[in-house]
Amino acid sequence: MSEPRSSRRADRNAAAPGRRAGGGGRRRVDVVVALAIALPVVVAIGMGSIGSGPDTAAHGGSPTLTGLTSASLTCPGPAGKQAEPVVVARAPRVAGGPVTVRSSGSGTRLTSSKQVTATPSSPASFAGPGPTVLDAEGASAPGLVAGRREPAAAAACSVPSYDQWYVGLGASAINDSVLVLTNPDPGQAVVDTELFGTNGPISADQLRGIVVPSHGVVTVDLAKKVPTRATFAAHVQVSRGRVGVSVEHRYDRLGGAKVVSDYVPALDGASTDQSLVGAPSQTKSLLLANPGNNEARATVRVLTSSSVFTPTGTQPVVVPPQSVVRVSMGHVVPPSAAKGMLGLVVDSDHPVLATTRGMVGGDMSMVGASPTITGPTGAVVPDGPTKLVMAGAARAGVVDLTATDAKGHTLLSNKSVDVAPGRGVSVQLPKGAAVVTLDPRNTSIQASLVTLAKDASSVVPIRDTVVHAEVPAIRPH
Amino acid sequence: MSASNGAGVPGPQVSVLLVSHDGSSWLNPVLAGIAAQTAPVASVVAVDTGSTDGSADLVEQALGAGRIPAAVLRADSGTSFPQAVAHAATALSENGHHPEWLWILHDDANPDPSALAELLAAAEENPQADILGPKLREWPSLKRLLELGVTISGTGRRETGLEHGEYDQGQHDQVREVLAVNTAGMLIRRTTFEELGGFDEQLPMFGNDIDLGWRAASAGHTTLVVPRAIVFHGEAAHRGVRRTALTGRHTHFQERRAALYTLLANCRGGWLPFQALRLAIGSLIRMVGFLLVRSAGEALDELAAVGSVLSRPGQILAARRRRREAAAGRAPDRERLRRLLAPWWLPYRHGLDFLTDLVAAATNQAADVAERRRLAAAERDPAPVVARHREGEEFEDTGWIVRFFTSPVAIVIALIVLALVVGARSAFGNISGGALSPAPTGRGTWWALHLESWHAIGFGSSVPAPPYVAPLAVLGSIFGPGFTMSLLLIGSAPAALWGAWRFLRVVARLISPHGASTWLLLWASTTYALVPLVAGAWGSGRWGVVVAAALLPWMGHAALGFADPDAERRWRATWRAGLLLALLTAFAPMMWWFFLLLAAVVLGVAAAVVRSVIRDRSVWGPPVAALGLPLLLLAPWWLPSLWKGASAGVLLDIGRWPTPSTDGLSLIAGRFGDVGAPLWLGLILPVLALVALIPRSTRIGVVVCWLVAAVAAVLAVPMAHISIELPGLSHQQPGLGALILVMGGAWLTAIVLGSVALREVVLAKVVQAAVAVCGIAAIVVPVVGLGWFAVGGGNQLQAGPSNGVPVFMQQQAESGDQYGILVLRGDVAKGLDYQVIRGDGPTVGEDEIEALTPADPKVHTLLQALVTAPSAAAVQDLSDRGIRYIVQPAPADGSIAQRLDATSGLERASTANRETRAWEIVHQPPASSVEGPHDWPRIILLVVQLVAVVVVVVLALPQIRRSRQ
Repeated sequence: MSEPRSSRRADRNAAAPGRRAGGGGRRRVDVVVALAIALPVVVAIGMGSIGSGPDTAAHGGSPTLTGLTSASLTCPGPAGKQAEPVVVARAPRVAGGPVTVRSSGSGTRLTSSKQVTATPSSPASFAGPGPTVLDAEGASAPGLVAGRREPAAAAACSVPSYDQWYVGLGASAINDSVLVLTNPDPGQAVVDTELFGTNGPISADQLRGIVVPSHGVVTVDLAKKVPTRATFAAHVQVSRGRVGVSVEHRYDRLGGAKVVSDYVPALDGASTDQSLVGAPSQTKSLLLANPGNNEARATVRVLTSSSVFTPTGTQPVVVPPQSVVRVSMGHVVPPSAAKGMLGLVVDSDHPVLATTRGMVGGDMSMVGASPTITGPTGAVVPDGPTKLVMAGAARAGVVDLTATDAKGHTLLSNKSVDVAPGRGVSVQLPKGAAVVTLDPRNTSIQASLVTLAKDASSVVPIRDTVVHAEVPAIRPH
Repeated sequence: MSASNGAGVPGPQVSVLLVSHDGSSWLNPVLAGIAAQTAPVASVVAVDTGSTDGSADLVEQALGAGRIPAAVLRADSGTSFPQAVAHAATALSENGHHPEWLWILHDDANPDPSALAELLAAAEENPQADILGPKLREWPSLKRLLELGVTISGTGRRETGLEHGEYDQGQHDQVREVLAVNTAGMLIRRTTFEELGGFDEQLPMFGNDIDLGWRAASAGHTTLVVPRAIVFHGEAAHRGVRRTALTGRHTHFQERRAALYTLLANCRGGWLPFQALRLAIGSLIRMVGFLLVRSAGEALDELAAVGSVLSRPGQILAARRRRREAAAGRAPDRERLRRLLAPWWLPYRHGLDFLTDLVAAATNQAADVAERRRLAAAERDPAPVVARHREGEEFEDTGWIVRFFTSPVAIVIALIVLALVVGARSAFGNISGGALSPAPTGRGTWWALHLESWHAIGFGSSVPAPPYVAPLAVLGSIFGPGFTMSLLLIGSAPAALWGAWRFLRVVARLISPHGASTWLLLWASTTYALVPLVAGAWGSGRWGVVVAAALLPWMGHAALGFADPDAERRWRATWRAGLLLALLTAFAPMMWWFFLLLAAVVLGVAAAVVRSVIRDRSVWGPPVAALGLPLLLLAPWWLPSLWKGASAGVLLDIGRWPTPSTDGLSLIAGRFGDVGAPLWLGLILPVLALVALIPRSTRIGVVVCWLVAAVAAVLAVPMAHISIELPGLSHQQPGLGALILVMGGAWLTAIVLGSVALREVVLAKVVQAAVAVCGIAAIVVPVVGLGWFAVGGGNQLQAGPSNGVPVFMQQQAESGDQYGILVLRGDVAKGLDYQVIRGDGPTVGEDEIEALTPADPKVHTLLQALVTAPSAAAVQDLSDRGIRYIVQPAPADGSIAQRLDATSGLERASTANRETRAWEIVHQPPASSVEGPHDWPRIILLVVQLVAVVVVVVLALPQIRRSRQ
């Protein structure tokens, strides 16, 4: 609407050239010239002052923490013949309280129910013969820690998970893996399992849609379901409900020798950078699984108390997509490099999963990538001489340790251990220690309990204990 | 009364019946015409119906002095035409005159001297003819044809079969059978007249000729029009020049009433109810049409006529009975009637013509502002003005096909439009992407969205629908929502091209009498049409900017009316400009703020320079009123937005947010981030606009264009720094898309004006070279831009992407708003997005409502409880809020799924994708769960809007009077 009005003046000028003759006309031209310069400058300055502005992407949100009001743990049944009891303990600085314990015995349903009281100062124990479920409500929920102390196949009780990997399974007469699925809830649960072998995915439709009835326990012997001589990895997803999954691997040398077994470590997912804290050098093989669609190249480094190094003369391991590769331990850790080894570090260009498997001290032992501990936690210590190995510190920090025996007597009080990136620490726990608590300060850490007794060995990874509930940040789409 | 029987005169006997009323100003030539007839007239009977101007005396004198036996009857002023004629016929027979023919004339019907002779000759040639009529030409202009026989259409329109104002060049000169002939000059056999019972007295003034013809045809009589016989007719009554007690002031009422009466009295018996219904509906439609062209009087006449006829069914039935009795059992001559009545499609053809005229008039309204200003200037200073060169005028009489193929500009335009359509090809389907949501499926969706106080969107919202929903609803009712969106997306660029062409042509003429060359206009309008496309507005789904680009030049065109020298025309421009500004604001709300600032600056400058501007209300009033109109027309949107906490919408571009921010360089180059054509291409325009400042003769105009651009820039600065917080978004930049259009348009106008200067000067060689360089750079802009868009500019939009919700849930959701689907995306660690899908999902018009609805803390708490510690109570609460399903599309966070699996009141639902988790809430949500309170203030505003839209649209439309003036 501006053009016409001004142009009207222009018209008037054009139509009546003589009317504005004289000084007025001259000054007018000056104004126009001044505007012709000023207006583009205004535009330039205006536009120049507009920056690109902050990105309008929606703000993601990390969860906020709130009090945990309900906690459940599922514990695998005892591997050996002796029914080692479940020890129920607590992470540091929680109240503790009553815990309901349900066990299936040798049946397929969680039946017997009992209440125990566990506090940080006094652990409790429960002689559950089969898979066992612990439930704690209200103030008792935070910081629940439990496990069996069986040194040959020690197992920590874990939070029911919905998506986990297990590497190094077998389904033959010699190497056989058994899935034990425990449903703690009144509703039906469904588990889907996919297998990846050395030659790619293994067809296993019978492992899809396994129904775990209400409060039921389902045992799946893979040698019976999907007999194969291959070593493989399993991706276990709970598509419905909650299920506690444990996988026991049995090694039967046939010909009358004792059958040895261990629990296969549950892996949260593939990663390009993982530490197998407590992996022994004398074990037989390292198994790498690649769930992705790209070939991965993994470099294996040795963790010691002073450094993490790549042994000379070793080559990166190539892991084909959707496949498992087994490499001899001697191949990636030559004997010359094995001295003082506290674990392995596996780096890869694409995410892989890693687990070691082999006989250590006459017993089967499997070690997987260690989860990261970010807060105070605890673990049940297997019966026998045990070392606490820590590594993978994000930065230099201190971990406060306590250890108590099964009755709650303090054996180690607030021992501070310095940790730092790029090196491991090994702490021999006092004899008789049944519960250990860790409180990392200023850093996150990865830790395992390494037990080496007569004809029994085990490595128990230590996980964060659930102390808080995480409330996700919620926003409209 | 004295008369002779005219014995001894050879040939058939003819008596003239002359009816007069206040016709002294015409009568003398008419009487002379009768006297001058070459064929013998046996007698003349004149009937005067109570004239007050001495007509009767005039007739008496003239006839008394003549050689033809004559009688003058004086009737009172309430005598109708049928009565007068009947009176005269009776008088003839009472006096023992039994002529073979009666020749009826009006006091304003002047017969050519040979008229009667020709009629009689034709009657002799065609002995079967009982009624004959002359060719009626306009009196006093004499050359224009009025009637050559008439018929009536199914809607009661008097059909002459002639173009309006057609000149008589002998093109219709053959004797042919017609339904009826006008009573002015009608030659009718006396026996036939008596057999038919004369004219129907229910038709006092108008339409009695058609009725008589219809009855005659029905009875098997032949009516002929004889073009060689000519009568000049003043049509005094029809034009309202003569007002009698019978016509009153409302001639249109009388004419319509007569037409309706004729149709109902003569139509086939079985069709009577259908015909009555059809006429009633048709009259209502015609009434709306009259209102649209602001002929309120005729609209009321229309209504009154149909009311008058239909409210007296007895009159119609009596008339039908009389016709049956007159027929005396003879079957009507249906074959003849079918041949002579107008074909059924004729009314629709007229409707189409009317619409075409209306559109043409509407688009031409401001076109001659430049011409009128020049004329006004010439009046002030009568120095010789350079004659405007009118291109294409010499071709005006050739057909459009010839014109098209002989005009390179037309062919290039066609190719450009083709390329634009090719570039927008993906919009032929239902597409979405970026800021564009899919179109709704139901025609009523947009109406509901616009009218309802409470929307079943998300967890319910009382935020008013965005302003563009109302126009979309109107379009969607006609074309369907999907096609409407396709039409807008595909048609906007050609519409922008057309609008820019018209706008720039007028602006160029304002600055120079020669105007701009068509090639320059073509370059500029094409470049303008491409501004939103190369900016990436199309590709990123900012469809509001695309539509605004099409409206902006038309709005500018209308606003040129503010510069009209005539104050009344300036006021009239208010309605058009205000209406278009309201539409523009509906699709790009920032436009209103821009024009507000622009008006303030321009009026401020004008007031400073020319004091009189402040005093003359007709100068500053129209633009101010035009700015106020959008506030009124869009009141149901912006006012409730304020009190519903959704006021951010008045600053944002429409569509789905978030959209990426735009920085200063992108604004100058006219780009939305990286989605548009190459950035360098956009920088050519501002550089050329700078160069356009150099020519002195057009510098003022170019400076004004830069002023417009500067106002846009000044507005952009604060807007770009405002960060609007929306629920779920960190922030959103206000909509700067409109300013890209304004700046692009301002620079293009500047370049056109600068180029116009080149036509008038002789350039030095160096300057010529520089101009050539600029010209090449200028050509690159539309050529590359058009190529870029045609090849792949619109690729980012695609047919509706999957939202991961199982199909059966989607189907149930479409069956009722209360079957909402709560979709949870993301995980605990990184945060969760929630969305409620109702009906056919988020569609055009709903995004803004959902995004602007203030977050409900109760819902937030409920959902947090649901994903952390779900309980049966939380599930029930969801059901009460109209949620039927919960879906976690893949990849689903298993920890949340675990908890929901363990919650009573939820049942797992099957999904096609194993990774997707879905639950059904056992308790069915009640329909009341998505109902909300009525917002009475908004409902009042909706009524105000409706009234205002009707009034403004009627005021904005041009006046078309299709009468014979």
